[in-house]
Amino acid sequence: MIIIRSLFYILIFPGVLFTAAFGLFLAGVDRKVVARMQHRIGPPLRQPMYDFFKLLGKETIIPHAANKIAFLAAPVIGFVSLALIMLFIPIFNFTAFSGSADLIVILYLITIPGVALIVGGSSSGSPYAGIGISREMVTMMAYELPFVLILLAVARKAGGDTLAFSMETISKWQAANGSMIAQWSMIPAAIAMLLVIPAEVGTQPFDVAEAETEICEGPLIEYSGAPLGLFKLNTAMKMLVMSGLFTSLFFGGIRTGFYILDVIVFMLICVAVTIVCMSTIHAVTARLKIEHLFKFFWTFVSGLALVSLILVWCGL
Amino acid sequence: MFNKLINDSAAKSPWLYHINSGSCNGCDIELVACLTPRYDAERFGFKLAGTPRHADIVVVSGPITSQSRERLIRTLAQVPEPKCVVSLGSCPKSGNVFKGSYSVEAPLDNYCHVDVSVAGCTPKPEAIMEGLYKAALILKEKREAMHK
Amino acid sequence: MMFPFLKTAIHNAFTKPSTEAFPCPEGEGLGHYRGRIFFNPESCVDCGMCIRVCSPAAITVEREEVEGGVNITRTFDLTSCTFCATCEDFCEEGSIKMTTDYHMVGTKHEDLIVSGTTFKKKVLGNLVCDQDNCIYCGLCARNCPQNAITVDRTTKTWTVDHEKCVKCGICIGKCPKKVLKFEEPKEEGVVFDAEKCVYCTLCAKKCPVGAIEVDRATKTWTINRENCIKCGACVKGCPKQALSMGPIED
Repeated sequence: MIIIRSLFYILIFPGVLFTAAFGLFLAGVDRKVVARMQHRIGPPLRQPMYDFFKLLGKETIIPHAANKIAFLAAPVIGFVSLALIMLFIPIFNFTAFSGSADLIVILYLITIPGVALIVGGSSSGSPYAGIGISREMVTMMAYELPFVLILLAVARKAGGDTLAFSMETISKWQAANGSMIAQWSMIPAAIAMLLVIPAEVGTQPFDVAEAETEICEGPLIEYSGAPLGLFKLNTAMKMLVMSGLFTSLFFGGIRTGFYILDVIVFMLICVAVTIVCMSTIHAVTARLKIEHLFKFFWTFVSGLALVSLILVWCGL
Repeated sequence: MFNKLINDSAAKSPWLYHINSGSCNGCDIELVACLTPRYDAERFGFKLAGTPRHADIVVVSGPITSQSRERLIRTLAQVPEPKCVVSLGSCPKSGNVFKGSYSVEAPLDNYCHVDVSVAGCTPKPEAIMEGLYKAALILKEKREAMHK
Repeated sequence: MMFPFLKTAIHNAFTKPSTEAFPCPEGEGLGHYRGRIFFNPESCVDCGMCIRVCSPAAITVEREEVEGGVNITRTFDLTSCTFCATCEDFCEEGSIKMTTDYHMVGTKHEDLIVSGTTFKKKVLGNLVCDQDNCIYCGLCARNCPQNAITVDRTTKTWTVDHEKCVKCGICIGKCPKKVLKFEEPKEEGVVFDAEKCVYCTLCAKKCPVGAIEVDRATKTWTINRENCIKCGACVKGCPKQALSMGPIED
């Protein structure tokens, strides 16, 4: 019985199928909103789904200089870890799997898709990919610091005197004391998180690593067919994972009483977060250079997160 | 089971890769004008890809100059199947005013099978979009033929 | 950090997009756009001017001899055309027009070719100028598409190169005095000037075939044109230069 339940959680909801489908939907919303902001019609909301299935139907070419195993395994590793993270994120009341150190697990698992991109890029054997992966490494270092500070701030706030790393504890604390976003000392952390999300997902203005015509798409340059489809799916799933994480960390106090309504409200807030932090910033900015990106995250964004952390540590 | 969905998606999400083989840039400007808000080719799923490995439709402009001929052949070989080649403007199809020059190696038919040609010097963005739309439908037929 | 486009972006998200519909509505705002060529074969006179001025050499001609004339098929290759409309400017008869049709997309080469066939009746004769009435204005020379006519005002000469002349007839239309026409070339033979002749009968003696008969008494000079072999011996032998080789007036 418990095996069937676990399988349901892992494969259907909130595991592979839900993450993939809703992630593709969020990616579609992002493209559509950016198009509308640029005063044009834009692709239909199902466009990323069409992209994924088209890529499944294309021929996979493995370059001669590539390391075959790493080349083909990299997107799969990213996909598996992203599906896994979603299992730890509570949808208000409900968590699929919860332990006492959820945030640490999430922190580690979230670096894996980035590492998968780096491994995939370096195994392609192309010099353009080499430039792309070095930029991706710097981007990861840049956003990990403020991300850790934000998670520490939330954990400390929910734990009182200790650090509460369990997502279930954080969710329960918010139900009792009001959502984190309503605590004035957590607002800088929320703003910092909204700036970390586009960097994690790899959307403008922080997309200096991949999807760049300057270095012919960076780490993904030699990918084609199904592995490329998996990488694009990873990006879409990461959008959901990050906005889901934001929703459960900062808006986790909402309780409607009905389970289905909880899920719907969760999805709506994810869409709103996507529109605000990913699409709007995408539509109005250009791409930052790697040194500016690093400086931005280690000064401004880390500063905001640090302010929140200090306020929370002082008991406010 | 997913075959029908994959076949339909081949026409709904064509990614473009543009090769300039010595063009005067007139046709290139009109091609990227297709992606501006007025003509908006993205509503049909068109997107400019950064590398030929991601492309479905290869758009070639310019009379094939001797210097770019080798690179053109290598780039066309890197595009995964199913693919479509569109010749943009009158230069790739016949060389236009550069016919017979010592450094021009048009037509493009010598190097690959051209699926759609858009005539004009330069063609209007509306005509280019028509040509790309036709190419997307040809892509679907090719995909269906590949996996009969 | 400035975001100058932010207000516009948010405003745009709530207004109607400015994208044109696809397929686009026909014929709006195209003005003098130079699109697909329209060729009217009925009014073409095969002067060849369009082929001369076409810079990418996109116009080709095929001629097929049939009874009574020539079938001329003119083909405009749109995949070679640069749409400069020079052919439209130079066509005297106005048979070439640039329409505003911009839908020139094809999967086969045949989709992008415009052609038409003219039937041109055989023109008998060559171009001649009535030099008595010609004022040597040079309009015929300036308008000749093949540069076949040479006119010199100072020396008052008019010549035509029959090899280059394509018999299009444009010069005939342009001449203000109407002195040009196509005339069958007159037969050439021995021309007799009666005023200079003294009836010495030397020509009759010199003629190897005996085609000339001269009667001193009645002062008549006749020639049997059928027997005359046009050797010119009589012309050389006449002491009064009363005979010459030229077009025979009947």
